[in-house]
Amino acid sequence: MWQAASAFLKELEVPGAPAAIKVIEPVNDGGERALVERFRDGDRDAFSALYKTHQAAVFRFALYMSGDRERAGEITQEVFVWLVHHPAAFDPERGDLRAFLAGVARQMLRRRRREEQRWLPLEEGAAGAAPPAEISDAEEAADLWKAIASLPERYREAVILCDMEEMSNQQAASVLGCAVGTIWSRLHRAHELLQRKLQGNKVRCSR
Amino acid sequence: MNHPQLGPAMRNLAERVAGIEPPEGLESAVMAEFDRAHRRRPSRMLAMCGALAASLLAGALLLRPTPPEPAPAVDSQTFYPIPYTAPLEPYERVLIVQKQVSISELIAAGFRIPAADPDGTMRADVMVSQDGRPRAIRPVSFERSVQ
Repeated sequence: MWQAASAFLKELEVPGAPAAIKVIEPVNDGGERALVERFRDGDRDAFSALYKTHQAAVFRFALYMSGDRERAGEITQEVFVWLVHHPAAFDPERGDLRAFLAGVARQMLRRRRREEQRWLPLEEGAAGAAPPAEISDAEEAADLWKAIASLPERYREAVILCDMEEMSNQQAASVLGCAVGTIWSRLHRAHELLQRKLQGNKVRCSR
Repeated sequence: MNHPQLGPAMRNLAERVAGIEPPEGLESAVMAEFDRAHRRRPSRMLAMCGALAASLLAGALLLRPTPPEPAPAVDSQTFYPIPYTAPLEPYERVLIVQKQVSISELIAAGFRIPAADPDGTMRADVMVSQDGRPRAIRPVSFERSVQ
């Protein structure tokens, strides 16, 4: 399967943009697979180990997507509580747990946003562009945060998963439920938009 | 990446974001939920095993060619399950009703009451399950029939 996917990616390679395609390698998840099995059997230590391994990535993804530390914490909690109650939902044959949990977090973020937007005025319903306090003091990082936050959601997701979280295109595709080629094209477009936004910021600052 | 200046900026941002800690208490809340979820499971399993055992027992009793084992001797301390009724589940609510019961009814229900006056009555606490059926009985006092 991996060879087929690699061949598929090679077909997608175009001159000038090869770096956007990451090498896909099978995840060495033998240890994790055993942990998942033990967690399914009700092993507390195994679940704790899985939580410790993946909670930071889930939290970061939720933080990038929501722009709110508290909300990201709530989403992280919801994701793992959901996992506790759906131990059989994750199938190791179909992907790795990291991508699976990111997919669950994405669904929860979307559902929550839908619920909230129903009651918010339109201008407040837009994604929060203000970076967290830990980032706002660094100008370059804050500008990039704002630029990413202002991207359309489908581009933002691709950038966060592939560029910020360093997932492979295959993993991102499984999170977003789309083809690997779609991830590549979204990344390509997202990079163009980011470049333009950041250059625009620099021009404004230099005036 | 096709835009070389984006790479370092992204790495810088990723490093800063990695330093942001999730709110406190997250892990303990998640682990508490795990514990809650797994505390419930054994009781469900026990209930299922209990139901299975009860069904097997009921089946075995029904298929038995010989008369049932004699019911325990009656005293005034214990509730005695009414023979051939399904045992109560641990979560089932019951209602205790005190009423006058005829001894002949009890004998007909499968109780063995030695040397009792079959025409007499008994004041008894009757345990009624959620479905309205009597499940167990506790004698309070005997009353002889008026000859």
